[in-house]
Amino acid sequence: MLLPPPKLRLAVVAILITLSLGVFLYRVFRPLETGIFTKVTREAVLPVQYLLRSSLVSLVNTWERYIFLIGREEANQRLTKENALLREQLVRLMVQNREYQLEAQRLHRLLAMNIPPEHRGIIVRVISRGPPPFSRHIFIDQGSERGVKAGMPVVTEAGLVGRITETSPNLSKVLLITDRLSRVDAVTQEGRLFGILQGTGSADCLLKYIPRDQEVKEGDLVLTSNLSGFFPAGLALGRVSRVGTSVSDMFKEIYVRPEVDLGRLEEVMVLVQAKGAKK
Amino acid sequence: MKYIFIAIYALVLILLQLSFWELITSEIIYLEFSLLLVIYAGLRMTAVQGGVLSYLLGFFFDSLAGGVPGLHGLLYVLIFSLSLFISRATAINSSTFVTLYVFFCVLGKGFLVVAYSNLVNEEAIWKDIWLIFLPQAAILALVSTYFFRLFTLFEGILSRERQG
Repeated sequence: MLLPPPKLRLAVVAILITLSLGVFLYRVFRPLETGIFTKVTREAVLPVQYLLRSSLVSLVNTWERYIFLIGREEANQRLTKENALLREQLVRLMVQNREYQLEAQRLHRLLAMNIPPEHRGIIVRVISRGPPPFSRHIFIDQGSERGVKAGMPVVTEAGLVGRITETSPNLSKVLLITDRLSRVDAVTQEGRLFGILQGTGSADCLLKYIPRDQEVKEGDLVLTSNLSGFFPAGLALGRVSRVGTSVSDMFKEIYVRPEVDLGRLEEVMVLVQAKGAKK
Repeated sequence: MKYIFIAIYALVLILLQLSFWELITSEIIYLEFSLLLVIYAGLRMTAVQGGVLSYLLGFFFDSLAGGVPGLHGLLYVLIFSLSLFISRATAINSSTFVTLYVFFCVLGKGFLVVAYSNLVNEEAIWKDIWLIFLPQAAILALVSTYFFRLFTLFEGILSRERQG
């Protein structure tokens, strides 16, 4: 270096300030004129500027898309969960709706049934079943508070279900006609043959005390008879499913399949004798 | 040869600064990193290299940013000159000094720009100092020490390349 550092600094500063001030003043007085160096710089830089800008734009766009996708991903997860939840609710509501429809149909059938004279019906819901094979009974959700008493018949629109054997204020036990302890006075509809329908603990009941010489056919309808003290006459009990001959010399062995599907009870009706009616 | 590197260095910095400003910090705040380099050049570089770099930065800024022609060239040279004269002070390596010095330089530059605008356009835009230049000065002052380290690193790389 020809100049010592302090003087060099001064010289550099003086030159630069002179130069820049000169350029500035020149441009101040000629604001509309674009300098040659500015033109060259702009032209030379244009492709680089374009490339840089497009790169940065794509970088920013990619980043924004990434952020957007993260947001979408979160939204997607949330919506998927909501969708699953709503589907679950929908299925539940559809099932519930179908249940209500079926229940309404069952209740409608129950209400439409011919209630025996001098009786009124209390529609009740089956809440549990006794465990077969030891016992064939059900529990219903009404008891003595609503006037349900032991001995009262329980029916559906298809026929006799059984009778009340135990009651508590809000619960009653119903002995089904298929229970071994069940006995119902019965009559065949066509032949008017009187007997006793006894439960066997299985799906079929046994119609007892029908003489051998009487004709009973499979499919014959068996009803409650007017001899019964518990049940109104004319309630369907079942249809003859099999007629045997080997048990006794005197009587036929007649199996009766209950008209009511006792395995699928949901609502039943308790028949209550109207006040003033003679038993 | 080294002045070509300096010119390219200045040009790339201005290009990046303008592009980033447009895309990222647009309309929010403009961070003039080139001013940091001017201050760095005054404080840490030799007079000739720093002076050339500062003027080129100002020139490229004026050319590419489309502002008042020659204004940044002059302001950068003034700031470089000031930095060069105080570079003898013992505390220039202190980060506190750098931070405060950058803050006042940026604010001072803002003051000059606004003063010029007022003079030429007869517009009272003094509030811009607080709205634009004060946040800019604060942010640049806070990041200045990190940028100084980056400039030192880059200067070292360029020196090695030139030697190689």
